[in-house]
Amino acid sequence: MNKKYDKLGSDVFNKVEKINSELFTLTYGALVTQLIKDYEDIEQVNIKLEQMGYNIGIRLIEEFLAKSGIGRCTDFTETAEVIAKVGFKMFLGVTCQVTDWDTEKKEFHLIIDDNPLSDFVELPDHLKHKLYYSNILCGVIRGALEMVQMKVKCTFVKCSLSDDNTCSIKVVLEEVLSDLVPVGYD
Amino acid sequence: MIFNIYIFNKEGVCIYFEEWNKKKGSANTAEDQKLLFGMLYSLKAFISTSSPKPIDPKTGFHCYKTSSYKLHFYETLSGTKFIIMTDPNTPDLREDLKKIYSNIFVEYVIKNPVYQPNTAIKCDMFINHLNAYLKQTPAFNN
Amino acid sequence: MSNYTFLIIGKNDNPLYEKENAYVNQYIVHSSLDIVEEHVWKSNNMYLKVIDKHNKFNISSYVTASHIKFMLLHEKKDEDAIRNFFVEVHDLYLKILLNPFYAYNSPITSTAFDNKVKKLGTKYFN
Repeated sequence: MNKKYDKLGSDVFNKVEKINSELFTLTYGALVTQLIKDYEDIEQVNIKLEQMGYNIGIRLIEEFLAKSGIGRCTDFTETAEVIAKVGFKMFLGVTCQVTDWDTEKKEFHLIIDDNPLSDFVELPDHLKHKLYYSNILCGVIRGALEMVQMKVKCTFVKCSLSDDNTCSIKVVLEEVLSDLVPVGYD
Repeated sequence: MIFNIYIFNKEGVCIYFEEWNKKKGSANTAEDQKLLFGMLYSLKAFISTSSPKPIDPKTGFHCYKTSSYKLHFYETLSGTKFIIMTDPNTPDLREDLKKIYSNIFVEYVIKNPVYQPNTAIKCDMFINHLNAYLKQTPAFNN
Repeated sequence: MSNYTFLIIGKNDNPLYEKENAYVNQYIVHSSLDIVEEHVWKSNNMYLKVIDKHNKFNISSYVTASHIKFMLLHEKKDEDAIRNFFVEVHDLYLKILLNPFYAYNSPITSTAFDNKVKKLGTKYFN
């Protein structure tokens, strides 16, 4: 299964338009630092980043479905693989690893080895373990999955910038939403 | 001949409607939209319960035909529904609906930062490209 | 030539970074800043070579396009090594500039940068 999505990921990646990675990284950096100036409270910055990500995610999923031509996933493990190998590859040019499944297969960790958002970034000491610099990713995943009927909770567990050396996001499936029933229908 | 197009979001709100080659009896009041959406909802439910083998009604239902029109249906995994009504002799438009989704809807609606998701589509770029695309399909005027 | 002092001086002659070894005094370097200003306008190159001398010490300078001055106080004259050192430090400096938390013309506190500069010093001047 893994191989199939690796291939699809790089095929789609070759197809999509690219932009200069430094421009991208600097734009994101400017955004985060501006948020810190505007809000001061770092927890607020984490929340705002997540919300922005959510707004991106609910749009990004359409682009993802349209360009990748991917079909419905049979289970959550497949969804995880698709996120890690196709989704990340398509939009960020990197793949990540899926690890630490719980026994019910409702919870996993995404390990991002090479996070392009945090290239060049060194967090000042007073922000370490407080700011989740790439928290926007959590929002993107949440927004995108919500559009395909999966309600998830996404949190940063480790951030490479706070000297843990790895970047790890925990994704927990809370609920599979069913199709909405039309108003006044029974 | 293409009569009209409906786009429903996953909450069942009609976010776009346009009609061409106007015929008597074309319906587009809020009530009609609700009826159409409700009918599709029941049809999909019926399709999945009546199918002899497991079927995903999102991808399994393509169209239905009456003596006076044919309804073409395409639903994305994100729940957006594209519906085109044509005369009964028109061949399958599923591929066209897919293209409208990935090349026009995603490009000019979803990627438009000013567009608020789940609101009525008023983007000129989308309307122009949609019209240009449909008008060059063989099905449009035949 | 393990005795060297390396400084990065900001736009307004404010110190941004210092790598000081024993025996040599960074104030000598500061006293040469005016001479750098003179050389900058005479040359198209960022590397200005030896611009000043104090007893047995030479002072070489390298000025980036955004007017950040790299100053090196050293004994031996090995132009190639110094040039390469400056170019590599310039690369490191650019990466610092790309860090969104670093403000232009502010002191460089990154330990990673410090370690890398130390390594370059050992590589070229030992």
